[in-house]
Amino acid sequence: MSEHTILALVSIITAGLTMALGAIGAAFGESRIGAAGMDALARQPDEAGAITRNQFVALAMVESTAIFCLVIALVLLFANPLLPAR
Amino acid sequence: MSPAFTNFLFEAVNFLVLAAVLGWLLFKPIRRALDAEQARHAQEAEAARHQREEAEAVSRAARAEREAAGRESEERRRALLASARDEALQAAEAAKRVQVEDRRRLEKELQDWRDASAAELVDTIGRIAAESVRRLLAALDGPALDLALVRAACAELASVPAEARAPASVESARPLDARARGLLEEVLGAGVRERVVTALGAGVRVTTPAGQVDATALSVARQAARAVNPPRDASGASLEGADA
Amino acid sequence: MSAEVFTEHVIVWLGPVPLTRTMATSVATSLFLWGALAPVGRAVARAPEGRLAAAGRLMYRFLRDLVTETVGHPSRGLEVFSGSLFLFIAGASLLGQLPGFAPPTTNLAATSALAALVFLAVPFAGIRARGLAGYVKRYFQPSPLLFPLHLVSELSRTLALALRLFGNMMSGHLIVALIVALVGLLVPVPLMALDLLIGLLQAYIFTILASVYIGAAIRVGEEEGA
Repeated sequence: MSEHTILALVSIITAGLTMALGAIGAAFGESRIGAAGMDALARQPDEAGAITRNQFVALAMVESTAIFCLVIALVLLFANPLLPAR
Repeated sequence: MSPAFTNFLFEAVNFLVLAAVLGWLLFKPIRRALDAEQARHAQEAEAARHQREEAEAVSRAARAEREAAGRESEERRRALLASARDEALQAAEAAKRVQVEDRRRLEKELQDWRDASAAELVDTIGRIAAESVRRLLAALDGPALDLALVRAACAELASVPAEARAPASVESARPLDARARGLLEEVLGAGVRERVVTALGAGVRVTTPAGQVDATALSVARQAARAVNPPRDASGASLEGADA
Repeated sequence: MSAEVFTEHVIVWLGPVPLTRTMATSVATSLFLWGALAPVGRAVARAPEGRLAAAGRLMYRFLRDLVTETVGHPSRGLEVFSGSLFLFIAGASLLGQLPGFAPPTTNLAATSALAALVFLAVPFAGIRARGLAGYVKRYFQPSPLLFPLHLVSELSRTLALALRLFGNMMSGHLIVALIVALVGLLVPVPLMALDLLIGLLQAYIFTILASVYIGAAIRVGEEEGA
């Protein structure tokens, strides 16, 4: 096994781990935002517009971490600086 | 130039151009339309508010007018009622007056009629009485009646002072017989002028300077009628007295 | 399967300037938006009735409400900026459903350009609304010690904007490409629908975040006064 093969193997495994672990936190966070948003909607249906907008903003914020993980995984898979360009 | 950096710059410029184009072609006309619509709505709302205010003012005026008209009609109605009541009272008064007058007039007519019938009755009775006396005297006619009448005349003449008795004239229905003449001469003295008047029926009528003594059948009958039907004045006072 | 995730396909080199595929697709998106929306503007300007005009006015009213709530008062520039952002990202996502068409937002350089525009628009709008001193004061707001944190926040949220859009669009695009490579017919359709939904949602989120960032810069003085 050459050095490049080991590096590629580790990169692929790490990309999967990155995606999996990164998705966990974002999933929990987004679920809590969704629950809180539903609760707020049930309490104050008149403020549906503002609640929904702020909920989306918060979702986007939390999702950012997962997206960062996704980008890192993509970088590991497709633009790995340690591997020679294919 | 690296493709990524070119991409970066090109994307930025592209988006700015797109924003400018969209702002010019899409957002500006829509904004203008919306603003115009909003302005129109505001204007219409203002106009509607104005119109409503005017309508309210008109309705207020109409209400006031109606109330005034109602008050006026109420007053007119009251006045009409009062005048109608007055008129009714006056009419009732007049009717009562007319009625009273009618009653009085009717009473008077009744009274008149009663008076007239009473007078007629009295006249009739008087006529009947005179007629019956005349008939009675006619039935008694004869020397005895004449003598009785002469005696009555003499009795009456005796109350007259003697000096006033002569000269006297004697009117008789028939020529005096000796006994009657004797009686008369006894009272009147001699020189008695005698005259025969057939119309007297029976008896004598002696005329002296003091007065006339009438003891004829005619006068008796007249006196009898007069006793039943005493002479009346125009007002009918004697009649009322007779009634009373 | 062409895995051009970070690389760029250059169509032709015009001297030193490369003409890339992303440039072509973004121009195509712009032209598509122009051609599709200019009639809407004309329809609204000509006659307020009609479906086109109603749709345009509805959209614009939604946009205006959004901006007004975020800023506190209507702002024409922000309306145009945010509306164009939404329309561009949504239009790119729509066009991305065409076979063989990679939306320009699947390119990190393109999304970075959009994020950089937002990053630059924040001080632009803040200075225009509050003046230089009023805008800069914001960075020292609760305490001057927080100035570095403000700067980091500005930069990191810009990076997050770019990466979020890129990651979402690229992930959807990649998944559809994978399924197409595996199965081909009809199976990718629900995933394409999901991709479209995510694209519209990301357009909305990008627009809202940009509005919130710029609006916060505009109303900094108001919050201070309140």
